[in-house]
Amino acid sequence: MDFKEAAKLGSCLSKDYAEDLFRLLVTYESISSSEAASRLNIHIKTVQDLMEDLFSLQILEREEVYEGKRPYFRYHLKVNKITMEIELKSFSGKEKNKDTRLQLKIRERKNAGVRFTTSRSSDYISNVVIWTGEGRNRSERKINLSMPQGRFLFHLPFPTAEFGTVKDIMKKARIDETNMPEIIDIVDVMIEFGAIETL
Amino acid sequence: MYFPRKLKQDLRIIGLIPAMTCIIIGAVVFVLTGTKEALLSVAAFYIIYAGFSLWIFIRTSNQSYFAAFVWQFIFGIFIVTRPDYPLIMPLDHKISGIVVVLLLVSTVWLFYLFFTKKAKWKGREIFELASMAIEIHPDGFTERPRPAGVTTYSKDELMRFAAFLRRNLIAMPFYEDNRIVFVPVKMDDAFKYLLSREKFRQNRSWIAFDFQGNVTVNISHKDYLGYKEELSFDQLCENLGKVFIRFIEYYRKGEEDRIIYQLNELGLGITS
Repeated sequence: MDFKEAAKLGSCLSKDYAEDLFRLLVTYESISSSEAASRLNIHIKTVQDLMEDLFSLQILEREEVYEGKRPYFRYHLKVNKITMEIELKSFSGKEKNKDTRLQLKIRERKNAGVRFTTSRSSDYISNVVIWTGEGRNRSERKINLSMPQGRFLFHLPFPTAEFGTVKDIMKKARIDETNMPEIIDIVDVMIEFGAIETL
Repeated sequence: MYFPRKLKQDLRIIGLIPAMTCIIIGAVVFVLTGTKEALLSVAAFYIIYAGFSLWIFIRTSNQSYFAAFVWQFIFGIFIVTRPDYPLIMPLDHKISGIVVVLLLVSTVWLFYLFFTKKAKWKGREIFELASMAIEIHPDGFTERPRPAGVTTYSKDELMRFAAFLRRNLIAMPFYEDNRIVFVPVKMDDAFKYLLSREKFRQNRSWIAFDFQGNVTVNISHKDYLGYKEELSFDQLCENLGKVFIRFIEYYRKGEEDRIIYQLNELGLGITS
C-alpha cells in the first residue's frame, strides 16, 4: 500500500460513524448508501462518499442495481480483514538516485543570503536561516539541523573553494552512511533555496 | 625581505590616547591653577596609569607592560621629587638621585622592549601572514567557521602554547570546556579587548584548537574588510589555520623563537 492509499484508509477509519458502518456491512449481505444512511441517521452523501472511498481501496465491492427509475449501487465487503502496511524506506528514494546524489558536486553559493548558526562548540552548524523574497514579501525560514546534517554543512566547501562531492564531504565530516538519506534531504533543500550551488 | 601589504593602512591613533589625555589634563590644570598643580596632576595620572599597566601585565604576562608599569610609576615619583624643584620633599636627598637612576634604567628597558616589538599586539602580523600568496576572488565571504585540519598535541602542550601566545601578544586565548579559542588582537583593538574581553570576542576572527587535535578557523566580516582586496576567503581561512598549526608545531619542537621571527620579519610598524 502506498502512502496516499494509507492516508485515505486512515481518513476513512477515523470517521465517527466508520465502526457502525462496518458493522452494517458485516451484518448485511449487501447494503445501499441510502439504507445505511437511514440506519445510521446521517446524510446519504456522507455515507456514499465513504463507501466510494472504501470501494476505491478495494475493501468493498459494488453492484449496480436497477429498481424503479434510477440505478443505484449496493455495496458488500470484499475482504474480511484490513491490513495497513507502508514501506517507510521507500521515502528515501531509489538506491540508484541516491548514488547520483552522492556524486553531486556542491559548494556554498556566493552571497546566498543565508545565515549559518554554529553550535556552542562551533564544530557543527545548528541551524540555517534562509531569507526569501524581496521587500514586504521577504520571509525568513529557519531550518534546525540534525547533528549529522550540521556536521555536513560545517564541512561544506566555501563559495570560492573547489566543489566537493556529497560523498567526499560526508567522509571529511566523518558521517556514517546510515545518515545518507538525511544528508541528501538537506542538500536538496539547500539547493532548492539557492544556498548551495552545484557543478 | 619585502612583503607586499594586504591589509589596509592603520591610521587610527587609539594608542596615543593615554599620552594625549595626560597632556590635556596637565594643560587644563596649568591654565586653571598653576605649574605645581599641573605637575602634580600629571604625576597622579602616571601613577594611576601605572596601575592600569600592572593590571594588563597580570592579564597578559607580557613583560613590556611590567616595564611600562615600572617606568610610569617611577616617572610619576620623579615629577614630584625632581632634585632641583621637588614638589614633595623626600625624606632623604639621595632618594631623588636614586629615582633619576631608576628612571633612566627603566627608560632603556622600556625602549628596548618597545623597539624589539615585544610590546606590540600582533594581530595585524597574523592576518598579513595568513594572506600571503592568496589570489583575489570576490564574493567568497561566509560566516561559517572552517575546519582547518588536524594536528597532534597534548592538552598540556596546548595550554602552554596558549600561555606563550598570550605572553607575546600574538593571540589571546579563551578557555572552553573542550578547546581553546585564540583571538588575534590588533594594536588598535587592544584597549577594546582589555576593557571588555567577552564583548570583544563577539564578531572577531578566531582559531580554535580542541583537545582531540581538530583546528577550526573563523574569519569575521570586520577582519575580512580589513584587507585591501577581496581575497579568496577559503584560502584565507585555510592559511590562517595553517599558520597556527605551524606555530604549535614550532612550539612543540621548542622552536618558539621562529614564531616571533616570522611575525617580526614582516616588518610592520611598531605602532600599527
